[in-house]
Amino acid sequence: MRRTIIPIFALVLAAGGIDACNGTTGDELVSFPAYAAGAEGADDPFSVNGYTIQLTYAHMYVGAIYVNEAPAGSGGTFNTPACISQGVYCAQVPDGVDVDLLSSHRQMFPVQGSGSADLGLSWELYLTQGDVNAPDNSGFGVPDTADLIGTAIRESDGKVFSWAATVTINQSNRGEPAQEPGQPGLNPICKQRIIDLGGIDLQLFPGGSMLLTIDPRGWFKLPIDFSALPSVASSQCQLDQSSMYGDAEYCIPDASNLSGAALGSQQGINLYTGIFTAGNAAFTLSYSSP
Amino acid sequence: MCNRLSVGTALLTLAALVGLAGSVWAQSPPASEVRPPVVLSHVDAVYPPSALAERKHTDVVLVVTVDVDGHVSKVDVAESGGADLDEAALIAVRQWTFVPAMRGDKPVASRIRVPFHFAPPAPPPELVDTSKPNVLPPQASVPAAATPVGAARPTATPVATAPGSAKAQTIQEVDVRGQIHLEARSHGSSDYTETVGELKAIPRTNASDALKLAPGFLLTNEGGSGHAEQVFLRGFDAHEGQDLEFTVDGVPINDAGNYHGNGYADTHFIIPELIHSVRVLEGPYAPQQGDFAVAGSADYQLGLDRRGLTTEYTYGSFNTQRLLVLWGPNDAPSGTFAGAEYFTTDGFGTNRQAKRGTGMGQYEIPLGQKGVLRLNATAYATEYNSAGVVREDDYASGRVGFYGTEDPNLVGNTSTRASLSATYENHFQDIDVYQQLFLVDRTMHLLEDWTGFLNDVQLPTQTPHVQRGDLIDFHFDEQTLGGRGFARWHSQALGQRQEFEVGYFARIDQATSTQYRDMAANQAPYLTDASLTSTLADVGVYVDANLHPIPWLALRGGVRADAFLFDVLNNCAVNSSVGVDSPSNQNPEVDQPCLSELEHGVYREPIQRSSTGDGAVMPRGTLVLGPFDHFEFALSAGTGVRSVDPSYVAQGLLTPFVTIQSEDLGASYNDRIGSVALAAKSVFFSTHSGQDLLFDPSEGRSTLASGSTRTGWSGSVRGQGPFFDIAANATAVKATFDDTHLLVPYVPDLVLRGDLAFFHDLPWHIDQKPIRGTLGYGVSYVGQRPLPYSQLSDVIFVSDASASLAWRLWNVRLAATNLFDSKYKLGEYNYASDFHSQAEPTLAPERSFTAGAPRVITLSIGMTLGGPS
Repeated sequence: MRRTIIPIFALVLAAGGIDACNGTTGDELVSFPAYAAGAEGADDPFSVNGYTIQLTYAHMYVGAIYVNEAPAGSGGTFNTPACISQGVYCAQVPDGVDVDLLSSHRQMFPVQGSGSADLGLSWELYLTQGDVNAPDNSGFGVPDTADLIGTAIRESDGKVFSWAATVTINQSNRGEPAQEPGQPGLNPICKQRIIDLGGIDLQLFPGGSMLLTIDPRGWFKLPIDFSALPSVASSQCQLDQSSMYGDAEYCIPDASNLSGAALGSQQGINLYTGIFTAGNAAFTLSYSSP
Repeated sequence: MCNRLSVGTALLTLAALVGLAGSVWAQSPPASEVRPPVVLSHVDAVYPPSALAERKHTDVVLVVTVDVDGHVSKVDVAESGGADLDEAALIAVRQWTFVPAMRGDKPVASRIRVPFHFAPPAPPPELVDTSKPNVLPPQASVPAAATPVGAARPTATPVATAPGSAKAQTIQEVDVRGQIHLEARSHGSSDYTETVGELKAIPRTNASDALKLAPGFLLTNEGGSGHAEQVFLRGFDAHEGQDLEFTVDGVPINDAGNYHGNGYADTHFIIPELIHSVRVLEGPYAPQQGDFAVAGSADYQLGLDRRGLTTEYTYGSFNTQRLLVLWGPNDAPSGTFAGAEYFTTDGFGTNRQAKRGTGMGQYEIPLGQKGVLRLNATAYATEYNSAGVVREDDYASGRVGFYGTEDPNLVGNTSTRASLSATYENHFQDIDVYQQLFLVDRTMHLLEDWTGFLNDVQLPTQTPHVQRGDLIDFHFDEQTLGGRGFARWHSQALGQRQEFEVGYFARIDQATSTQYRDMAANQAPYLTDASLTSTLADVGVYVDANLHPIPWLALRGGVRADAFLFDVLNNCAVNSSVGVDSPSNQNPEVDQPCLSELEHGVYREPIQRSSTGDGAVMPRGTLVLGPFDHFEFALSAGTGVRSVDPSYVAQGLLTPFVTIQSEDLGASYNDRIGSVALAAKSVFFSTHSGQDLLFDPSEGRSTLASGSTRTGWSGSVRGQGPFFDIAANATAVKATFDDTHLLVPYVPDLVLRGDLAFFHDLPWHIDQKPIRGTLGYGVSYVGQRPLPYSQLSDVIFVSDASASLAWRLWNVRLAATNLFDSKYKLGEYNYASDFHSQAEPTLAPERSFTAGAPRVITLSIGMTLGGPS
């Protein structure tokens, strides 16, 4: 019996020669709360392009945020028509929030953000609700990309213009026609709905939170001639938007890129372009401990 | 989690084993010698009352067939002693149990002659009339009993306390008969030949489950019941067979040139009841192992031990039904059989319906005294739906159930297999010869969706479109023609048996793989991922020696050389997913996935042919010490190869295979303690792969990654007794990439498995026939698996059980898989997917899983006609 038991015990002992120890597959998954807020002083008057502008109402719908490990403009990030980057996404907030841009109070996104504990070098901001590839993302119950109400005082003569603006992004008003028959998909509408930004060095870690700060004052770098705006009663302005326009006398039309000849259209184009190209002057993203 | 081998402890322990063994050693008999069966338990025959009147002394000689489990499967009367005495002997011997005949370490069926000598019971004592002391009673001749006056008349029935004795005499003859398989030589401690035996009581849903008799196997399945299992072994994610060479009696199962997974091995065509044993050799240590034998090889050996015509119907949970028919002629060996199976189920959740039909037939034609020609034909077809993965956040939020699906379009998967094989084996004076030819036809149609709506990015040449969906629509078609053979010479030298074997393997495949992406809206294909027509060849030659310079030292091994040829026609060589920078304005190729233009409109055909070939020379060997007092030690080392799929050849890869180096150090123990056969093994191993294969969910297949190393330990023990069969095994492993030293994801670091079966005649009889009861229980434990992004999976702990009653022709069995109804995740993954379950796309990694099956209870009723009663 002894000669049977001891060898079996020795086999078990040999088996016990394995020690468990630690290892990793690299990286780490994180989840985090995400917030958006307006910049401090966004409701203060500011001077730009010959006007002193003061916003009394400013809302923006942020559809989603994505952070990529590739730098902006490298490889897949919008050097091609692809609206999903070829790079690796390391963070996402896949739902939207309507942000009061005149409040610096943190406004929470309705979903937790998630990602991996990697370094993000670029990020994408979705400007609409729904499928970014769909031709039309407007309509009843669908939030506008931006709604603004304010005043503009022409600095040359002190004339005051009360104005309002609605910005939407659809194929009908923002779509760019194909330049080459051989590349019909070169300018999909999704490209007009996603802002691709760089200039970040965002290290995610467990226990942190993400903050998107939007300063609407950065949208007005392109000149907007408030004297060339149509009346809110005119056809260029959105129908049935009087409640949105408040007491404004004029509107910045939600104009098509192609209809620059109509009154105020160029101002609408400049406002949309100003939003889309504002970059870090209007949009900043940070990740920090709570 | 990982393992750090305590090499010093291991070596010290092994040294202790050798020391303890002392100088006492025994040599195990050469594998070709046969030991006859040994009686374990016997019952004396009862002298039948109906024959008592004659009171004759007579012999009845029976020819008894003992099966590999030690039970009496067939009895014939060789010399009759009369109908009554014949029946009495038959009744008795059918209750005998044996230790089966052994050829080497392998039990084999055998036929023996058992004589019974019947002697009538002693007559009652004569009564003497003491009233007349001088008058002797008349002397009557035996057996007639004298009946003295006044004496009680002798009873007509035999005295109960003195039953007629018919003791079996010495077994006079052994005629060993059974499967005439040329025995494979053990190649180290990682060589497991596991006979299913009484562990057939453990519920097994398919042939892959039989692999769990060997240590270290984890099987998952994300594709549905007709999809090949994903196999994990010794730190390898063998995916669906890419790192494990599967054969059935030598006929290859692995698909070559399968774009979904090169080496894909679907074993569902094998009827589990026709599996006699499984030989698993973990590691590439035998020169007979060929392509895909990276983690090892598994050879299913077919046979039907239960003779007669067996019909079994099963009904169970989720409207699961199975009709099984098996036939094994009584006068034929277990290698002659036919089997057919029809199976259908509604499945345990969304998209889990399945149907399959299988037919297998094999005929062994004896050739002379020692030869056999074995003909085999198999046909298999299945149609099934697939649930795919479920995202953890969708399950947590209630959007998708645990047994639900993210994409209900994964319906209509199919798989078929048809094969013919002919195998010739013969033993000549000092040469054993084996030759096999096989022909296999395979098709499969597979629908999978790992990523939802993520990969269909807008390209400039395409008409503007929304995300159309990532549904993978894969089709594979292959014809395989090949053969294998060897000649093994043996002789005596240095007082020991020496063997030398030369062999070959050849396989030619004509394969077609196409993979499309289908639109979610209408399942119409909109993109071609791959369209490959391939001619593949693999020709291997090997030499293998089994040398015994001294009785306790064996050197086994040799070298194998394989030549691979890949000739690949890529029917979609310029794929729109790659893109064309500047297509022609005059001849735009809007929306076409397979382009016929280069930059600036230069025309080209959309096809491209690529050919390559290369050879690999693979030395392999094992040093065996022992046996020393039932212990044996082995050191093994070897090189293996895994061929790559043709898509890499189409992309310009010159060497179409990956090389693996592996080493093993182990100890084995075999002994018989009373009536219990005990076997145990302990093995340390290390394997290095030049290029690993890592599963990429965005492509739905494995892709080449960097090199990796695996180190670990596995152990197994099995005890087989007269009323029980118990097996347990464990494997611990660490697998890391060579460049980053990070863990290889998905590979389990700890796998434990236990199986036990109890069987015995119950104390109840019907019509003087005992009822035999069997209980089976199997349990699996898998530790947390490393996942990408430093995550860990859940633990898996699942039990299966069965209880059965057998009486004469009939068998009733109640079985339960996942006995405790655990809700467990069979496969877990971390990667980016977007099934449009949230407001906006999900582009960052999230947890997804495939659900393990809940408890399934089945009731089976079967009967066997024409078999042993």
